[in-house]
Amino acid sequence: MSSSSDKSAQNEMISHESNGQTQRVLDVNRAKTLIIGYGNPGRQDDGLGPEFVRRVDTDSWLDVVTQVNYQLTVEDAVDIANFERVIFVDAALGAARNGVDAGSGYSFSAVSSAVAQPFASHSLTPEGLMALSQTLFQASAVAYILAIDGYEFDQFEEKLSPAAERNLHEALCYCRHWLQAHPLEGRVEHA
Amino acid sequence: MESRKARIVEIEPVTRVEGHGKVTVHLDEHNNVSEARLHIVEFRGFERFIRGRLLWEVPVIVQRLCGICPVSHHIAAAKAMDMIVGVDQLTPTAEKMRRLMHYGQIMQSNVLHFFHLSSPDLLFGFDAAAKKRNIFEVIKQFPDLAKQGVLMRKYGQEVILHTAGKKIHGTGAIPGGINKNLSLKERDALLVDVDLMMSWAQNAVQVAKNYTLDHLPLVEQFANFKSSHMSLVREDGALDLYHGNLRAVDAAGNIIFDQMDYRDFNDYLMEEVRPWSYMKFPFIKSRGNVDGWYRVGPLARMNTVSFIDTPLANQEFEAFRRFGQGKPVSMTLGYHWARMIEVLHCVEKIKELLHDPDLQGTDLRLKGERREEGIAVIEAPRGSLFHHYKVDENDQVTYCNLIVSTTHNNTAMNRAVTDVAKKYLSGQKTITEKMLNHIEVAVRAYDPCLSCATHALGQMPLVVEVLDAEGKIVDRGSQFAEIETPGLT
Repeated sequence: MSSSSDKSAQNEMISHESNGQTQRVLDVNRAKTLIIGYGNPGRQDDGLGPEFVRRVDTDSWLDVVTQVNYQLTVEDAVDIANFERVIFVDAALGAARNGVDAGSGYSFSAVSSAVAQPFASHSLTPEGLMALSQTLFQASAVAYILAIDGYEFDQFEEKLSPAAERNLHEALCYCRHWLQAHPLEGRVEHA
Repeated sequence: MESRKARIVEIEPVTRVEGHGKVTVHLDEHNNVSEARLHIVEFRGFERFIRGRLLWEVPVIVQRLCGICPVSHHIAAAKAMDMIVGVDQLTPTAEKMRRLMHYGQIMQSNVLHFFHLSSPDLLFGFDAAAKKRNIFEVIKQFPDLAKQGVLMRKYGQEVILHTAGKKIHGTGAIPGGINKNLSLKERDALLVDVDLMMSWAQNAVQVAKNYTLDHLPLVEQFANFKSSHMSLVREDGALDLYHGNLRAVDAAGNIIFDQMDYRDFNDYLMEEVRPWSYMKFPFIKSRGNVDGWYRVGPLARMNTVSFIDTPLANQEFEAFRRFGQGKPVSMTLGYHWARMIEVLHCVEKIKELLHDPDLQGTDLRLKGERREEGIAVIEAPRGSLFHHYKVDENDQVTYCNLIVSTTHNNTAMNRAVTDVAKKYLSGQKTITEKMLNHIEVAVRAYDPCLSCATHALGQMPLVVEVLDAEGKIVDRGSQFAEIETPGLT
């Protein structure tokens, strides 16, 4: 099973809602990891999350479903409830990294919904989104955030800075190895 | 001994609005408010970014401008490019697909604003403790309402997905038409829940209306000021969010201009630059720069249109107009009621379109005689959205000017901030977080989209700074405190 695009993931969810085959879709998705890359590709390094997902799709990672968005929004809480594991991928200001440092230029850490910030705009934090998903839709997914350092955000340009590009490459390598080392139970076997 | 120096109070950024905004409240030596201003940190450079791009790329690229309303920019840009490719009337399938996309966008945007951004203020009070005044408390006390908000938002996003081709960065609208129709499978998927959405939308109107009527003493004195209003209207005066001509009315409801072709907007509107703000201040030329300011968005639309062409929303529209006794409703908090009437209208329109066989048509795109200039106006969730482009003989953009809804409302939001600051902050020895929230409630009612800022991790929380006359910080605090969500792991 290869990775799915945003569109196909959406179609799966819509189909289970409309044709009553909820259990089948849930079973398929529970064996997968949902990777949500978010940010605005038109704002230089803010596009690190979407670019991460684009490369995951290009390389057809196993057992992942991907989504991209400009930002996390409340309806993502519904989708998350269909997965056992979620990885949020976002650009980070270097000074803000506070997770477990898995190497230079990015961090990978668990998301805790125990203390969530109230959301202040149409966008949500991963913590807030997980809290929303658990409270309203009984989500049981474990969540992680892969925060990749970016440096240039101020211009309207669809291009990553060279330093962000390096960080992206390292983060992709790390995440792929991490997923291989941490398969989900009930993982679908491939022929 | 108390300081008797003039002070400036800053709220930066304003919370639960899009992007970055800052409010400065200027206090005199007696702690009375002398002036208040909303500063919007508008991202610049888009015009440069778009210059040189090919016209067919523009409806896709403009979605990079805003993470909140990319679909509105997508549709407005495509509509402007229709003019450039010489298409003045789309095929029925193309226009109806675009309309369906647009109604989905307005529905989901208005719903999120009301249910999740504004409901904490409305349900718990503007001066409730900051720890209570958030969505998690809404979930705790009103779980059904919170869940309905999420699922209505998701429904609107699914309408967008099926019409634009993608949830974000859609490609559905193209110069001269649309690149896909609605398959029967997609139609049937959307029909499953449309009646449920209708009943929830009707309930949402009642929640907003009852809030207004139950809190009249507050609502009528909170940022309630007279103004002109402007929006598109259909040729018969009906609400039309996708296409029409411009109508402006004054505070008494008298017509300033009507059925004005938006392609001539430069003859009717001007933009003023003020030294303290990045954002321009548009005004109606005939009224001048002092009195010519106006409001746009849901409240303005309810004040300009003659009727709504869907029965349930029109019933609510008539109740709204009766409340205003035939005159424009001027209460800032009236935006919430108006916004929910529009949600109901959008759901009615979505249902009507889903039963229209034109959506399965295959005549998707037209071509006409090429022009060098394209101008479009649509009614976006927050108000009138203007896109204006010029292209050269190589199809490359040479000029781009956008007037977004938040810019139209610039003066109105500054009025609202000043009004509330004078009422709630003047003469106070101590400026509390609850007092400052009143200012934010007034700004939030307009649902301003300041989304030009990036959202990367590490963004500053809300900071309040109090400065004395010499610019020295005498107080500083953060309003963006963490809240506990007990019971969650």
